[in-house]
Amino acid sequence: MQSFFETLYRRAHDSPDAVAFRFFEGGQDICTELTFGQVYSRVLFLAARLEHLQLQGERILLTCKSQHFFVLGFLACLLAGSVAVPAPPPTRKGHAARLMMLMDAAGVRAVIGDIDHCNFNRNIIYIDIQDVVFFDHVECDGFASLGGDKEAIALLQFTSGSTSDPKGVMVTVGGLIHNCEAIAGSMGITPESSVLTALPLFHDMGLIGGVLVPVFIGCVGNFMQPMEFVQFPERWLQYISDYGITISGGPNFIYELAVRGISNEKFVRCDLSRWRVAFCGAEPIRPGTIDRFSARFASVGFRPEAFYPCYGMAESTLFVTGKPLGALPEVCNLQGRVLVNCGVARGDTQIRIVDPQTQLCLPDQQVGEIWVSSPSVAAGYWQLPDLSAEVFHARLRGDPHKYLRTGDLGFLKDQALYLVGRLKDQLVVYGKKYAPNDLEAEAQASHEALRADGGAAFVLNEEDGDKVLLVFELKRAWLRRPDEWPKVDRAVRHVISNVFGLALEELVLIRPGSLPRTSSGKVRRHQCRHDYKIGALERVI
Amino acid sequence: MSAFELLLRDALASLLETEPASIGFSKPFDELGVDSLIALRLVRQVVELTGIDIDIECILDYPSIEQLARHLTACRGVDGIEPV
Repeated sequence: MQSFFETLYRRAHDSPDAVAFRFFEGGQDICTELTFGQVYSRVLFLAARLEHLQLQGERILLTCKSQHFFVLGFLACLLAGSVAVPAPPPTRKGHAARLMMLMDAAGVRAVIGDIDHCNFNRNIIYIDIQDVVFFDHVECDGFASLGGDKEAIALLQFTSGSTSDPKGVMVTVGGLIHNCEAIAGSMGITPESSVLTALPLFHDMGLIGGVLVPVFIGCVGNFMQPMEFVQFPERWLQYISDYGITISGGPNFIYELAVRGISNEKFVRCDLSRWRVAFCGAEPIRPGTIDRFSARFASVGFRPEAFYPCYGMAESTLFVTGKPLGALPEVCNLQGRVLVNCGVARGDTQIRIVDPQTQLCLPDQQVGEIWVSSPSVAAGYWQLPDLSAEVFHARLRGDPHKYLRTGDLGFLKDQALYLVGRLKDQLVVYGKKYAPNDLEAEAQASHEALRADGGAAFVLNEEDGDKVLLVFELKRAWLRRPDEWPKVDRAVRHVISNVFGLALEELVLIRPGSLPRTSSGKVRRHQCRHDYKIGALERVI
Repeated sequence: MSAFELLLRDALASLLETEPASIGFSKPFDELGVDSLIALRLVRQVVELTGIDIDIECILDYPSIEQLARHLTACRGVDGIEPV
C-alpha cells in the first residue's frame, strides 16, 4: 500500500508544470489553476507551519469560503499528521453556533480559515490562509512524513449525529488510502483521468471523491462551487464538455436539477461523450431520474452506460459498492417498488445482509440491515467507545471479521446490492444528512403550543421529490385555540427554513399523547411515517 | 399588484413547478415550499430579469413576492438600473 502523498511527490518532481487543480470560482472566465509543483510546495510550506505550531496529532478545523484554500489546508493537515475537521464555511449566525459545537466536540486546537474576522476563543490558534505567503520554488528533495502511521486518524467527519449529540467518524490514513484505491479501481481512474466535483468539500463525497482521489492517483482535480452549480447547472455540463472531464457525479438531485433546470439552448454546444463515469449515490437513486437524464442529454453524447449507481457512507470512509464499468444501470422489482442495483463489493470488502433483531445472516433477496467489513471502515466515533463498539465492531457467529452496521436496509441478489430504506431515523435531503431530533428541537422552541418531546420528523421519498414532514403533539390547552394554529404552522415553517434551508411539506398537529412511542417513551418515527401514509394519525380538528 | 410582481410570481411558479395563481403575493416563501435550492435558483431568475445583483440573503430578508418586488423597485430607484 503506497503512502498517500507518494504520487504527488513523483508528479511534482517529474511534471511540475502539469495542471493538478482547477478551481472554477465565479463563472467560466474565472479559473485558478495550480500545477503539481505549486500544490506540492504550498502544501509542504503550510504543513511545515503546522508542525512549527506543534499541531501534529491535534484537531484542526477547516472552514473556508474558497475551495482553493480548503484543499491546500486539508492536504497540509494530512501531511503534517494533524487531524482535519472539515466544516462548512461560516455564514449567517445560525451556523456559527454549529461551528462552536463542532469545535467543542472535537477538541479543536486550531482553525484554518480565509475570513478576515474571527470570534474564536483566545486559546485557539487561528491560521488565516489568506496571509500565508507561498514560495513556489521549494525543492523536491526528500519528503519527511511521506509514510505516516496508517492507523492514525486523518480526519473527523461530523455529518452523522445531531447538534446535541455530535458523532465524529474517525477516518484513518489507511482507510483513506484503501478507499481511494477502491474508488479508482472500481471507476477506472488513472493519471490520465479528469475529475470534476460540484459538491461541498466538507462532506464525504466531495472530499474523498473530489479532492483526495485525484491527489492519490495523480490526475487533474476540477472544482466547481455548489452554489454556482445550483444556480447555473448548465455550467456543470459545459465544464465537463470544455475540459474533457471523465468522472463527475453526486446525489440523485443533481441529475434531476440538470434535467429540470437547463433549458434546451443552454446545452446544444456540449459534448458529453468523454464523460465515462457519472456516479450517483448518497441518497435513494430514482430509476426515473436515470431515464430522464440519459434521454435528455443523449443528443450531446451522454452515454447511458456512464451512469454509475454506487453506495457508501462516511462510516466506511466513502465508497462501498459500485456498478460494473461499462454496464448499463440495472433495476429490479421488489413488491411493486423499482430499485436500482448499486453494484457488487470488490476485493477485500464483504457485505452481509443481517436480521437486525436476531443478528443472523439472511439469504439472497431477503431484506435486512447492510453490514460491511472492509479496511475502508473507519475506526469508530470520536470519544464514543461504547457506541463505536456497537456500530463498528459487530460480529456474526462463526465469522472472524468485524462489521460496520450501516443502519441501511437492503438485499443482495446475485451478489449485487439493492438499497431499500433506512433502519435509522436520519433524514437524507439533497444528499445531506439531518438528525430528526435537531428539526424537532428547533420546531418545539419556535412556538409554545408544541408539546415537549412530542414531535417526529421524517422524509417521504415520493416520485416527484423528497418531502420533509413534521408531526407534533399540540399542548392540551391549545386544542381550544384553533384560530391560532396557523401561527404555529408559520412559526415552525419559518424556523425549519431559516435553520436548515428546508421547506416543510406539512406540519401535522396531533392530539397530545397520540404520537407513537415505545414502552419506554421513545418516539417511533417509522411508525409515525407509516401512520401518516395510511391516514391513521389523530390530527387535531 | 404590479407587472413586476406578476413577473416574479411567474418565475417562482416555474421553479416550484406549480400554477402561478396558487402563489399568494404576500405569502411567506417558507409556506410555498421554497427551500435553499429554490431560493438560490430564484436569485438567478431575479438577476436575469432585472440586472440587479442580489444574493440569497436578499431572498431571506424579503421572503415574499410583495416584499421582494418592493425591495427590488427601491434598488432600481436608487441606482437607476433599467430592467433587462
